[in-house]
Amino acid sequence: MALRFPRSVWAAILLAFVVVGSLRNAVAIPAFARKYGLPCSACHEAWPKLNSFGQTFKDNGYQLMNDRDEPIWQNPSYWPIAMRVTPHWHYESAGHQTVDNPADPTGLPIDKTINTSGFDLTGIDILTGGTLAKNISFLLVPSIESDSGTVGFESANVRFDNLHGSPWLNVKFGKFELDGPLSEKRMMSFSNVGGSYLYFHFVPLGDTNDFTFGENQLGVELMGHSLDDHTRFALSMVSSTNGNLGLAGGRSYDGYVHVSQGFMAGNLGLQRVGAYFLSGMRPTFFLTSGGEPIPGTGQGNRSFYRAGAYASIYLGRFDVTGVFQRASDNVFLANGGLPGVAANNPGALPAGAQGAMWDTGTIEAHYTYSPKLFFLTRYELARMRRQPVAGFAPSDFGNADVVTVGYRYYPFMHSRAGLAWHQEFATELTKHTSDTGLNQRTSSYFMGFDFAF
Amino acid sequence: MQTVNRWTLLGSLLLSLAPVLAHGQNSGTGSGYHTPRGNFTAAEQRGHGIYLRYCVGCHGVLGDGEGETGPYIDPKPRNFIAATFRCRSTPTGTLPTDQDLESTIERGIVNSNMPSWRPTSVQDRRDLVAYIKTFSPRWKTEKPGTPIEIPAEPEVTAERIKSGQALFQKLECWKCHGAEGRGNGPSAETLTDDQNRPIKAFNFHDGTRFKCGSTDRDLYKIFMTGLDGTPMPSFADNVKPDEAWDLVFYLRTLQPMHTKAKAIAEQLGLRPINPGAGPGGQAQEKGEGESAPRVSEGALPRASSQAAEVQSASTESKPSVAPDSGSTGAQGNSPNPVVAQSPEVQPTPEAKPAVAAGSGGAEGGTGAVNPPAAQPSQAEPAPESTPGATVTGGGKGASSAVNPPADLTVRPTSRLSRTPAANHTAQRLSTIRRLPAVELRQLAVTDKPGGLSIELMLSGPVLPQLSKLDSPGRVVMDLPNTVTVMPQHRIAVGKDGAKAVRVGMDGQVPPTTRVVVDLTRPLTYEMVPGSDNSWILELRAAPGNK
Repeated sequence: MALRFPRSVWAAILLAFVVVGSLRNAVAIPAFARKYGLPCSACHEAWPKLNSFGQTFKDNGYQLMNDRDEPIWQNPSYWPIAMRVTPHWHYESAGHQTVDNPADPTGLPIDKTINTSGFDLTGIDILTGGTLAKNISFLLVPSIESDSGTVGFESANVRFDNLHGSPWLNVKFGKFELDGPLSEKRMMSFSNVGGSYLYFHFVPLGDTNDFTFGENQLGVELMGHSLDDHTRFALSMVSSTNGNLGLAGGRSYDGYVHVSQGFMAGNLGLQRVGAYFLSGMRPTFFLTSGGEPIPGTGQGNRSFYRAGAYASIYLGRFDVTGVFQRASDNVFLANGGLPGVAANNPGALPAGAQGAMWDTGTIEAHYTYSPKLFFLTRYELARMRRQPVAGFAPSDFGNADVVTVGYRYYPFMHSRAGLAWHQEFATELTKHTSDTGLNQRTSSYFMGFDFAF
Repeated sequence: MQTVNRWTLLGSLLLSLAPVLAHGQNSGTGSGYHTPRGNFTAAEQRGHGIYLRYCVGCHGVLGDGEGETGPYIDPKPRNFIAATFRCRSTPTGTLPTDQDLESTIERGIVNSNMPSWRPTSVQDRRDLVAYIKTFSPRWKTEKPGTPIEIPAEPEVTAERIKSGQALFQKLECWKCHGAEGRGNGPSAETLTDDQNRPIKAFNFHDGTRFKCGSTDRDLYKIFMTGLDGTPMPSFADNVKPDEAWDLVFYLRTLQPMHTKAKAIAEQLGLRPINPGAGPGGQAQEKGEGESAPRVSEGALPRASSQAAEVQSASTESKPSVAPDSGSTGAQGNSPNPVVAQSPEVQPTPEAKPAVAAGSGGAEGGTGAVNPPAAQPSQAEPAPESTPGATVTGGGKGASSAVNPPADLTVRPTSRLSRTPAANHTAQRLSTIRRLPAVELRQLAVTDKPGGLSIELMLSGPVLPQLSKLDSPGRVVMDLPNTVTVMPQHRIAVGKDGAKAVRVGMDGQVPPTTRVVVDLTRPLTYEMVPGSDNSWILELRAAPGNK
């Protein structure tokens, strides 16, 4: 039995990967460096990847905790704004795409590898953040899309730090990135294929669950950490809108917990192990008016979860992080792409329909030759454990493998601005996902200048 | 099966490579910078990389505190070339232990741009300290001081708190910290650090942390070692350990924190001290000869360091710049020192800054003119005025200048020679910065009938600036555009009213070297030129204080 989804679903999935790859707003904020007079390398292994000092600074609410964090200490001319954009050239290749036959437009479509290349621009991130007062911090990141010029808010939150004088009590409110093992906002890869984490975005084909770890979520977070930041936890409750404004989705909330423990291993660096769990619900249908869905009236909520564990190991300049995640979506979410499937219409489910389950694995390794030269490699995989329909063949349908390699070179390192020359290649293979059931390979090559000021 | 074997093999290979990767790196945990192997030790190499990653922005490549952001930071970053450190467990004027430096890096310095580097590893901090110590030759020629002993903390009692309050008044802590400990004492506005930059006295009501820690033991340590580089002196010679704890308990009552000491103070209804009454109040009394607190052994603290002297100097001399301070007579109720000018030296524009002289005693310079004591940075070398110039200070009234005796014989009891490390300092400051600085090469202390003679041997002409400081009593010689190349920075004297001679640099461009004589009782002094660019400071007992 082979599931056939409308071609629009495939196009949407492909588009989603392309869009996700171009929307990142990695948070490397020269405004902080200017405020404190520290070079980028103080907080970043190589920007935007945080080192343990930078992570502690972030966990303290963008404060160094030396009683000089309040705005009152800043020169009145200081303006906590930084911007980041990456003009680049990239090459994209997508294999086994179904296209109309140019020689016979009215005939059967054909499989074709589509290649394209050219100069391009990422969106512009306007990064503002810092303290409003002692132990009250904020982050506001308006982002201008490169294609449409529309402005969105990647982040907009206020955080109350060190409540009752304790680092264990910090409350964040607004739109923020969930505290995960790897930050997609601080990714060291840019390309359309390699510029997003598979474990953040992978869902089985036809699954309509829109939750993605990589998107900033709207909600509240209670976060705590030890003084040395070795022990960390985060509890979040976020709206089930996947960070979209306007309450257009469901009315439920997603819950998230993340705990981790770090420990120093002599001269090698800070090692960390952790685990996380997210559970939430998504609507399967909406109330309608004249047949049109009414935003914010999501009904028939069905559950899903993401559970993972990870370890981050440093061997001096070399570091590697491995993340394993298991994910599961309710049967109505997993088959939501099929016509008519909703919790109030179980009869639309195909025979043998079941909840989907899949595993993802990520191994990301870096070699920080110096804060000015940084190498990256990453291997990701997604393996279906349970297809949305029992007995579905082939059983590895939708499985994916992604390999990314790249490097970044920073010609200078100071506290005022940052510039990086970035080169990267990433390739992805998905199993049996072409319209003709063939494996599809998608590849990206990216080179450009990433700068922030 | 074949696949499994291949993956197993690959995994094993990676695992076996891991230790090699780890061992092959010399950069430490947080660095990433390759470092020159040169003559650095492994720890210094790692520390160099860590320094480049974290510290260079403020402290600079040369370690002189002139990093990229140094000009914008207040307070200024530490100058590692000067090797003057505030937070120590060792006596004033001595080098800190490695543990002291590591603790400072780990803890950070509150109310400054120096954050806590706790997220770095212990090994990183050790390596960083190893590298920081390469900036100054002092580390090659001197050993760190012996950490002071801190007796076990006694039980806090009402009597101890009251005793601590009495000490607060007696030791004149209020002059800087204010009667209520709010950092607003009469001298607070004039305080400067070792580089002549304004510095604030600590406000005990603002926070619970100090620059050098937050515990009772840290507080004890602060006033028993002093904060070198700041006006905060060491009280080690003037306060018994048990009394120091009393002071700790009293100071804790001023802080915004719930402590047993504070509860007791509230029960007692403890009120702020009244500087106008009691022992410390004498400083407020007007009258000739009481322009400054008496310099009497056992009543006033030991000077903190050569660096602290710089700020003390400017602190206490600044008021004399005030328009109304140029009149004759003593300073009235001002706690500032009287700086008398020799009648023999005409206050010409050229000579004015250089010929400031004063009384080493507490008697005040009657009938003396009070020229502004020149700031080191304002001083200009005036080699042409060296010959014949005489700088004197007197007991009651400025004595006449005395020309150098023709048969002056210098018999050094402590002669210091130049070392390779000292050469390094000179190169750093004069070659790297391309400044033709004069070198202070030797310093000889000679016992003479009726007093002491201290000869400064210099490589070129310099016109010293002489001043006197109180609380505790000191005679200070500033040598503009001069670097010290002596390996030793403190010479114990312990006789004839002089406790020690200390030498330090301010780390500025051009550099100023300061020579400070710590006094145990009031002395008169005069400075006369010697041969070959040398200068001789003659110290004699002040009338009535023999």
